[in-house]
Amino acid sequence: MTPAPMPPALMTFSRPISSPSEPNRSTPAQAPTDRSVRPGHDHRLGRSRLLRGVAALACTVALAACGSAATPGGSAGPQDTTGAAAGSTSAVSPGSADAAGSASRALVVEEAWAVARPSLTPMPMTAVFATVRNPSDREVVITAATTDASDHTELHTTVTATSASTAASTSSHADHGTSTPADHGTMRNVDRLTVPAGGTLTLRPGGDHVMVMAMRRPLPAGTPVGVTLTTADGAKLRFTAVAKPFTGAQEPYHATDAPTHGSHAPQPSASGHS
Amino acid sequence: MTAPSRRALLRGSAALAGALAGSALSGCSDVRGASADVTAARHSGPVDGGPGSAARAFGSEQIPFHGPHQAGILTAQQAHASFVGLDLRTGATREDVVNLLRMLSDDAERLCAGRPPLGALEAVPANTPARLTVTFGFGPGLFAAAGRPQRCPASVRSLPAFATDRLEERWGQADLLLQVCSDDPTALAYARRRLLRDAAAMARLRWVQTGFVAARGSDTVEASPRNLLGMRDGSANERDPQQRADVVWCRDPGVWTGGSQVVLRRVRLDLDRWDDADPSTKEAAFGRRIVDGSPLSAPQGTSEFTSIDRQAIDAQGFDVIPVSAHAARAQARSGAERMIRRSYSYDDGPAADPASGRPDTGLLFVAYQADLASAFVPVQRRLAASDALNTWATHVGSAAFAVPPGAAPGEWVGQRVLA
Repeated sequence: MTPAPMPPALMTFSRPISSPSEPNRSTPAQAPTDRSVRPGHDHRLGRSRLLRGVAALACTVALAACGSAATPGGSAGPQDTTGAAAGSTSAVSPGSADAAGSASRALVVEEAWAVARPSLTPMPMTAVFATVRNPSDREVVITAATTDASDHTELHTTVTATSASTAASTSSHADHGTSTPADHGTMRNVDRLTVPAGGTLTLRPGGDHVMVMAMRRPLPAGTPVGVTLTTADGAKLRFTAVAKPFTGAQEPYHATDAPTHGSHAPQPSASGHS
Repeated sequence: MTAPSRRALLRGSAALAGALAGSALSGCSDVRGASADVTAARHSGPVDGGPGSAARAFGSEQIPFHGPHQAGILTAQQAHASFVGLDLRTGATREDVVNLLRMLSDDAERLCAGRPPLGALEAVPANTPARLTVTFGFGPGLFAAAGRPQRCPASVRSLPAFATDRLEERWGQADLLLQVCSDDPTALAYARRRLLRDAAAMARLRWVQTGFVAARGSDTVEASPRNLLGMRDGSANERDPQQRADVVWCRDPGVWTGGSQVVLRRVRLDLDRWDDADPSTKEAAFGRRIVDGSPLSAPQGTSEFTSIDRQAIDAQGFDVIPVSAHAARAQARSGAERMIRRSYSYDDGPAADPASGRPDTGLLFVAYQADLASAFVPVQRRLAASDALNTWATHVGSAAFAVPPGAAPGEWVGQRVLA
């Protein structure tokens, strides 16, 4: 049987672009270094985790790393198709630029979805969630997000009552640990989200997420939305999230919810990225 | 224990197949289901404790979602099934249909692999699929909404009426069938609920028909399940894998290669009156023995899988099997009339029929075949003309669906047939 070409919406799960210099960067052997706490992740089943790693390898998102592709010595190959951003300069200091660039390219985005928004009224906004895995030994900092459905996007974290005192000084972090959607707190615009070395950034309801504002088109359930994350070194991580009906997490991802705080105003807040 | 490593191997090779070849995994689901059943049977024995004291827990067992054929057709029959009929919302566009199928395919793939659908906040309810399968069938309305009305096979579009039909509109044709099966009703309920939750924006529920066969481990795995008449049901199914494939998979080349057709008939049974029938009357009506399902034309103690001999006569020259016996009337007269029956009993309760306040219980007759027009239709015509079981059985629901081939990794179910 000849499989038909994959539709764009399912390109979320495609073979990762492999770099010859890092043949094992996302092998299952690195799974034990995954420090993330994922809901329902069964840590008892070592074999099953390993196998899930194999499956993940088969289904990871291809990440174009255009930013550092232009960097002399960068290892990105001809698979780089996002030349538009190739001129972006890396803010990473010389000496670490190559390592940081390859770390960005190693990022793997999985389980991407967005809250379906069938109508732009009354609130043309939604949120994108995903699991961002960093199999490299360097932390990667995400500094911005854009989507093809909106004109304005922010990186958000959710600050719970108990973590509010520390969140101000650690606006970027990998995981909320014990926080759950029930611990709904205040969403806050941040200028960076960090994917720790060998770790995972879980974007999820009630936690860190990509807040999509000023939507240009509705997102009925099942429709895809293209998302791009930009890392501190200028790499662009492109993936597709599918819109899913979602009514959980008592946060204003939904048009029917009253905003509980001011950070969803159509302007970037004071702490917004530039 | 060898089972987990076999599972591991299969799951690994599934991932590998998707990753490296991008090709469809060869259909091994029925083999796996069968071997898992055999393993479970071997582990069962004298049970002196509560449930689960002897048998190995089977909740984590999985049937691959991807492959050249959809799972849930030749898959060893799970203990529980729920058939969900959905109608697309008025004004549904092709884009709506594509979005719906893409989303449900992704949900089904994840659920069958023991993973939660995207957007679920916890994974535990999905971790025990117990051989969960989700099988998609398309009715004429779906093809029309997708802008491909001509793609609906004629056999599905024009299922004829039968003389004995007493069809109720509420169990009628729907646009989309989801056949959800599992050995664990809890897993099934979770999967069904999540699928319907995602479908709600684009489709409305037409009906749900939920059925069961013997609980896993209760009966010998080699035998066909007993229905509520107490008779083994499906004895005529081909057992040879190649023959089974020949029966169910569409033969015409093109987008339907690897697909099938299914008919779902809701057959209400008057079990109180059946109870009052003498056992010999029951066996004469069915054409098979109650105890082991063996045909009356074969000596007692032979297998249910012995072929029926409609011509057999006894010492006095009388037919051994009455000409009106169900099994004789239903017996395929040609290779093209064969079906794979995958029926489930249903029991909606002692006062479930709103019209009469009487029980609504019976059989969800489910049959897969390459072409309804050459298999189910002639057989059902024969049964409508004469079948001793018609005394107790009434067809009150009917729906037919085209069953797309299985989805390759990265594909949604039906992508090629709706292209």
